[in-house]
Amino acid sequence: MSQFKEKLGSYFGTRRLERLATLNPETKLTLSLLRKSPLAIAGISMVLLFVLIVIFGPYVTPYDPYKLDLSSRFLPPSPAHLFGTDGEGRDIFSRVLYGARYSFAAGMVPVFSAVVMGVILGALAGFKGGKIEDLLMRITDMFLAFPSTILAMAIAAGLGPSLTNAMIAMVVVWWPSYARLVRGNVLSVKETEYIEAARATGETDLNLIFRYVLPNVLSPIIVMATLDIGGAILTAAGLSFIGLGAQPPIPEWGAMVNAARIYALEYWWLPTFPGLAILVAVLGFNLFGDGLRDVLDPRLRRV
Amino acid sequence: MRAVDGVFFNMKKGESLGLVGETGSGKSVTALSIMRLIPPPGKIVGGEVLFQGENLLEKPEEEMRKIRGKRISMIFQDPMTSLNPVFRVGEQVAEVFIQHQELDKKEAEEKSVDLLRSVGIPDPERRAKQFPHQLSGGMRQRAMIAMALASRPDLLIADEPTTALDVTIQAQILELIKDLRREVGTSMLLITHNLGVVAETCDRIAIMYAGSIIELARSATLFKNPLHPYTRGLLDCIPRIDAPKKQLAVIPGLVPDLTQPPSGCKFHPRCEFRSAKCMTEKPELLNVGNDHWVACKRNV
Repeated sequence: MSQFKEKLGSYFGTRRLERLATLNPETKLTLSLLRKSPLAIAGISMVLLFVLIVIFGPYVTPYDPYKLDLSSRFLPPSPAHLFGTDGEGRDIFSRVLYGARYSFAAGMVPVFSAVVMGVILGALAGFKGGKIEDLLMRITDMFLAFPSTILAMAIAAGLGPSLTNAMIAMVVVWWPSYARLVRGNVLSVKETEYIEAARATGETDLNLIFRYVLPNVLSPIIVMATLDIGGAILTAAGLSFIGLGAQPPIPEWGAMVNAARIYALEYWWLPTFPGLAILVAVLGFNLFGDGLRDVLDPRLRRV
Repeated sequence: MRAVDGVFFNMKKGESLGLVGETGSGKSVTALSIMRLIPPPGKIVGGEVLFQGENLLEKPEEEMRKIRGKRISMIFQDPMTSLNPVFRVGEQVAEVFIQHQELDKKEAEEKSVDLLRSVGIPDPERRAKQFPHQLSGGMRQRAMIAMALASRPDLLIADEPTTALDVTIQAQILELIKDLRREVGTSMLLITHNLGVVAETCDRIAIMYAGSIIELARSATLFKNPLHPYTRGLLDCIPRIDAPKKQLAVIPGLVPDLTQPPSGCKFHPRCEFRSAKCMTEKPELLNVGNDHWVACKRNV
């Protein structure tokens, strides 16, 4: 027993406790800032709900989302079919739960890829300066010169309609804004004295970028990425809605709304529930991003 | 524009040299040139920096990088902004060991705690785990000094290390640098605009004006027998507690605009002893005996 206690003591030993103690004020501050903003809480709840559905959705769906059942077409919402059934007799509730996975991928993958691309190119441009910067930034400007939705549509149409191609189109459209954001922040951090001091200790350029510059420009990137996930979900749904993204019978929300268009007036539940799902996911990420911005803003933190 | 032009000095092992001048006289640019860290678009167009017999200006960048922080270290003016705000203090000090002594992370962090203790930071185990904003200015400057001296460099460049600190802390920091230097045997180039600071810490003093060194001598000599009119003017500007009360002397005029430097001696427009040749001929830094160097036509 005493041995066990010793073990427990070393596990929760002084180091760990100390670390908790040093982290605590920061964590506390974060929580208290979050608590003051009910919208952020709402956003986090929606995002959490969305993520839970992504993970567990397929295990709790009562019906197979692809199974046609012509005997139960256009059934209105009822305890058996919570969101009703569509024109092919498929359970809309099951399809919406399944669809969360596609929307999640459509939100995360393009934004993540765009962040990686934008951070690498933006950091390179901002840190190196000179000709490299000019070249990279002019390329960035070229992409930014086109309206992003139209450009995404053109690329998706050119590559052929599928969810993967829609995501590729979104990366192409999205990375330039990250490159600009990162470059701007890198430029200002690069001039700070701690970078000069680090240089004077003989740090390599690579180390300077990854250990000194990037960690200091991380919070605006995180905020923008979070806000963009909502935008990406919406764009993916939009592309699917106009037929350039996910193709039927995939239960992607935008594609579902598109398929339900013609029945919208007689059978309101067909487009409404996938539409509401899009709304909740997008709104959740937007509110969450706003909340993050407030929490990560150093001016609000230090009061 | 030449921010620094005509800087010449030498330093012996273990010696401390004070580089004194007004704001904008080129002190920091001189220091950054030695480290080869002049930020672009600025660049070094000529001259040489000999360090242990080798010209640093001809070294490849990679070799130069290994010299920085290992054989030549630098302490910066403002400790509030010289540490990376997102990493713990201990990690940052440990970085020097990882970089130059190739220790692994754990060893390096243990050594950094010892190091923080040796520069007089109380409770170093706890401080090492804190972020820079949780330390006071004096403590941060101690941490910077710890980092600078971690690899026992041959030369320490201290760029106004006490300017941003309280007077009481200033004295402590100077004392600390002095002690550590004695222990490690490091030479020091101390950059400051405070003559009182160099008088206490430096063996020799070099006075800079408008990008050039105009006088260089042992500290005692310089204070007792300043030869350049500018040096005299500077010394007259210091209020003295033992002298009869009178209005403090002021050097008339302003530091010249270096985009259009004055002809001849750059100090001549403000000099009360100027003669005709001061306006046309550039004075050279010459030894007037007893290792006392001065760039003024009046002393030739």
